[in-house]
Amino acid sequence: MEELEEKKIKCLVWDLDHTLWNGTLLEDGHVQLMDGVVQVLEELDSRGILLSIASRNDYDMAMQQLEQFGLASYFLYPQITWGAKSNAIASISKSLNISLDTIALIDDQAVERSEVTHVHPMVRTYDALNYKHILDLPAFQPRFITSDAKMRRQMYQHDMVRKQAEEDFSGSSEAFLKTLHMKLKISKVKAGDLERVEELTLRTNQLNSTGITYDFDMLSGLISDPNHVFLIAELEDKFGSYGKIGLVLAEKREESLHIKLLLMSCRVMTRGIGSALLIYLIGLAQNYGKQLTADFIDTGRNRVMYITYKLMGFYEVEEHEDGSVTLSYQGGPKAYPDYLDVTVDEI
Amino acid sequence: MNYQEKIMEFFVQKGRAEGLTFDTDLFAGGFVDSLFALEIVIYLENTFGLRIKNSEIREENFKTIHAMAALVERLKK
Repeated sequence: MEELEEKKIKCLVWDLDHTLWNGTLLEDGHVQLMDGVVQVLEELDSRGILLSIASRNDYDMAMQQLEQFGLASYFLYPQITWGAKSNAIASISKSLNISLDTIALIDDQAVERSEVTHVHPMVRTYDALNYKHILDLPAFQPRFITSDAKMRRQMYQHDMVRKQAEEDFSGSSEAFLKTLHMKLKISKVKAGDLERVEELTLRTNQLNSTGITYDFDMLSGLISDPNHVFLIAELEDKFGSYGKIGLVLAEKREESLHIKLLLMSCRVMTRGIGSALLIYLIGLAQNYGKQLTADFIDTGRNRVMYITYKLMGFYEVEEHEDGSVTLSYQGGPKAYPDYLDVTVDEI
Repeated sequence: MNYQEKIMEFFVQKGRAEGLTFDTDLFAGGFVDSLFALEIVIYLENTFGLRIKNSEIREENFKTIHAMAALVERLKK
């Protein structure tokens, strides 16, 4: 079963003293990078695994040292404080919007590693002695390395700039969204997208209407299947691209256009992308002269998708024995929000 | 503080209260920001000590602050 397979790591959090470099920065003043550690960082980065820091250290001195090594830009939301590392990990999880069971810590101190696992049992920890072997572990080997994966760090860095812009903005959140000039492009899934499609189904937990994963061959078959609508959505704004962040699989049934899967990357959770995709499908179903219906399976983590459907005007019409429900759209046509420029590519 | 005022407080916290009245249609723009929708449900549950069942999560119960207050009132009974 799928469950036996270990969840892939999305972010590796590094300790600094005696882990990234030898020695203690504040005591020794002069430290050297561990042998070959830069190659490890580069390789993880190119696999699309994010990097961060949890170190009890002086922030300014540590960042200055990282700048000198030319490594500062590899690390997102570095937590360099005197506080507990469990807090640092929680803060990284929140800032990146990824769950704790996809985060790992590498640290030379057993006491730090156990403090973290005591508070967050699902965080995986590794002794710094093993830093070279990290690359060989299955949890650090994504099935594919997509172009989205290679760009992942840059995309998160764009997000940091956006978040700052949002904090500095003094107006309503809708007014802020208007300043972003977001463009959503909806297209048919093509063969070249399949790796990203599979990656999205594996990585997306919260914003996923069913949690069903499809293997590569099934996905490949769906591309040319005339009975399915299989779409991928890409988002960009004035700060840069978010990559391919949304996916829809819907079946053309006799009476209805039936959504089997609707998912979006967590990075676009506050952008109304789920609504925009649903608005597109509402129009499409209307063109076909069919009802728009959808499956929802409660995975324990995707309540947000249920709420999105319901507040868009979907109603539960059927409850199945396995606990899944069928939802049906009962309203009229809807217009896209005015802060979002939606284009639809040859469907 | 009544329910409506307490719910308005959430919109103030989130910087979404500008021009908002108890009867403003929150979904008039045609879109639902998923995170915000989740947050408002959780806010109502935690603030008023309720569990909002799936069958109560409906557009008409969340359309306005007034409607949310009525929902809370009903579930409190």
